[in-house]
Amino acid sequence: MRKLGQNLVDRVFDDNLAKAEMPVSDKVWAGIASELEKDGLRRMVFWYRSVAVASVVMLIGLGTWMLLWQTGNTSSGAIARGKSFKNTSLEFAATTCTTENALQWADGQQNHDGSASAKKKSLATAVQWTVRTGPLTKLKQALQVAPPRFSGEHAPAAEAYRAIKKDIENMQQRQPSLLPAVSSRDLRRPITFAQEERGVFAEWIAPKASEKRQSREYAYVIEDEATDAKQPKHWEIGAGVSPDMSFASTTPVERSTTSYKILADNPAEANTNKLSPVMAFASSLRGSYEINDRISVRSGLSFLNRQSSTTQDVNAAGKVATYQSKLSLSSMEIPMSVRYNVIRNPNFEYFVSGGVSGNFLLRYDNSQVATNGDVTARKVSDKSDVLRPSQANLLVSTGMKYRLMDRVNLQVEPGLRYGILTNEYAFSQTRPISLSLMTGINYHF
Amino acid sequence: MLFSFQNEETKLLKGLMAAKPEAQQQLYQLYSGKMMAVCYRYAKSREEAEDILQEGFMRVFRKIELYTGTGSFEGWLRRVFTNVAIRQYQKNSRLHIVSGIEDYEEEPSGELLDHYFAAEDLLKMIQSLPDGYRLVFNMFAIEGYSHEEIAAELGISVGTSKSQLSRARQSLQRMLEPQPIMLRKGFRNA
Repeated sequence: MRKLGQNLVDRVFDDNLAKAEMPVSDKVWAGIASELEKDGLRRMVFWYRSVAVASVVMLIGLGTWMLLWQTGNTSSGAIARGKSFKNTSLEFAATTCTTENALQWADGQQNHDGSASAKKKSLATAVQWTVRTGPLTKLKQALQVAPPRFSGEHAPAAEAYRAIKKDIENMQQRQPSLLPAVSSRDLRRPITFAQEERGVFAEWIAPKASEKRQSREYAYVIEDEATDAKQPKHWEIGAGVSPDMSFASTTPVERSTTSYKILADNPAEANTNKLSPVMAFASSLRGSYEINDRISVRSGLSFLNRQSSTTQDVNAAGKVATYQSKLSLSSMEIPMSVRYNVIRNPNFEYFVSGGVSGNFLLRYDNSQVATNGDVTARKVSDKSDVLRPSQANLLVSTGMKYRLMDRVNLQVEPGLRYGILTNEYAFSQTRPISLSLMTGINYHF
Repeated sequence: MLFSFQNEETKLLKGLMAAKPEAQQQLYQLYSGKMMAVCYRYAKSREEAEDILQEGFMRVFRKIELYTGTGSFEGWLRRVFTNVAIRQYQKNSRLHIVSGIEDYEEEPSGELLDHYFAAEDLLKMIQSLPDGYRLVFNMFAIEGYSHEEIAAELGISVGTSKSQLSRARQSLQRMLEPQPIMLRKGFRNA
């Protein structure tokens, strides 16, 4: 039946072709699959780039914020973190003492440097302490000048007075040079006290307070971390895993994609080879030795594996050849680097690191099969022909460590690796760059 | 039955939206034959048709979210492949369609409809047409574009579109009339 108004010729073709089907060769789907694989890779590259950039920005921002925060709070830097003294009108003295002349009171007289102390006593450990003392007129001012560790959950409630008094007395017996010889009568009422691992804070009624108006004094004593010269050095070991994304890579160990070689009768085609980033995963063991409070040296062992499979159409001499390439590459890396702690406190560290590494080829298999076409391709599987057995790199990274338990840290470290040796067999002379995001657990002794 | 088909299509679309490989492969298996026939009508050779087919599927996979659900999915697919074919054609060979005087169309004999024509031979007839004729005839006679749409799509005047169509019809009519062509192996009508 003729469609209304439709030309007869149109009708013949429309009827017969509108729903016609034709067979399709397999290479179309192979080409689509290859494109989809590249799409997925691009999305993955974008994601990892975003994560890496976000991590670096976050770490730099966090580091800057902590630096500013710390600088704005104390000139000493090692004490009273997190509290600003700018908002208090209190005058206080800060003295760095050793345990030989730490805060001592003789008959109610304050003597911070111990020069006039008649009751100088020694403690078992020789560490330095920073002592801050001063008068208080309001109870809450004690919290204003106290480090945060003495506030919040550590600040005792008024009901705990008896226990506090007991603690004070115990402290006086245990470390008499660190607390004033305050009589228990003066300690009775307006007193707060908190004790932590590395310091004490106490507030008391001034022994010389007048009859009409009582005033209070306070002191807190904190082990001075920055001048702790005799602290034992730390060894640290750790393990981690990392995604590793390589770019512009043509050198052997970091070869980022499969490639093919066209024989000499068509050398121009060699330049059509495209390199794209290939994902790899690395697992590593590492160790570090702390030279001083800021600087550590690090080394370790890392194993890296790349796997990829690509299909490429090569148009040569007017004919299309389809190649399927499979790459499997394993290498071992030994890094040597120096780490500098920009920020360090018991719970958090922010650091930067730089160094070199050597990569050593363990296994390489790159096979290519021409599935159609007449272009002759060489199977690239002999590593001695194409690859160097080793490669040197420059390493740069930044990272953070967060204390999970007493000796266990979580470490996140985005890094960049730059190859300093090129491969003479490479099609181009670009140097390999790879990004990683090492995440792992450390244990320190 | 219709309900089941719609469910399947919805499931397939969800898979495509999520870029699931199995959904992409399923779509390819379902429509590659039909879309190849579309591409083949616009291409000069089988190789070119397969290039268009590959590019078309990639565009579908990348832009699947543009399918709003209004109208048939197959119709949308055909539009995508047709557009890819036109773009490919414009990219590869600069399209020069010369405007001419509108030809007089002689209505062909109704006997044409009594013959059976093999799809492959009809495709060859289309392929033998000059580029401009082929493009306009495909778009008008089979895809259902109006002359205004063709003119806008190809950047030509409505008159030129009509002229190209008229000449294409005349050429094809001459090819159809001598004798009917028998069905050949390898092609099928759905």
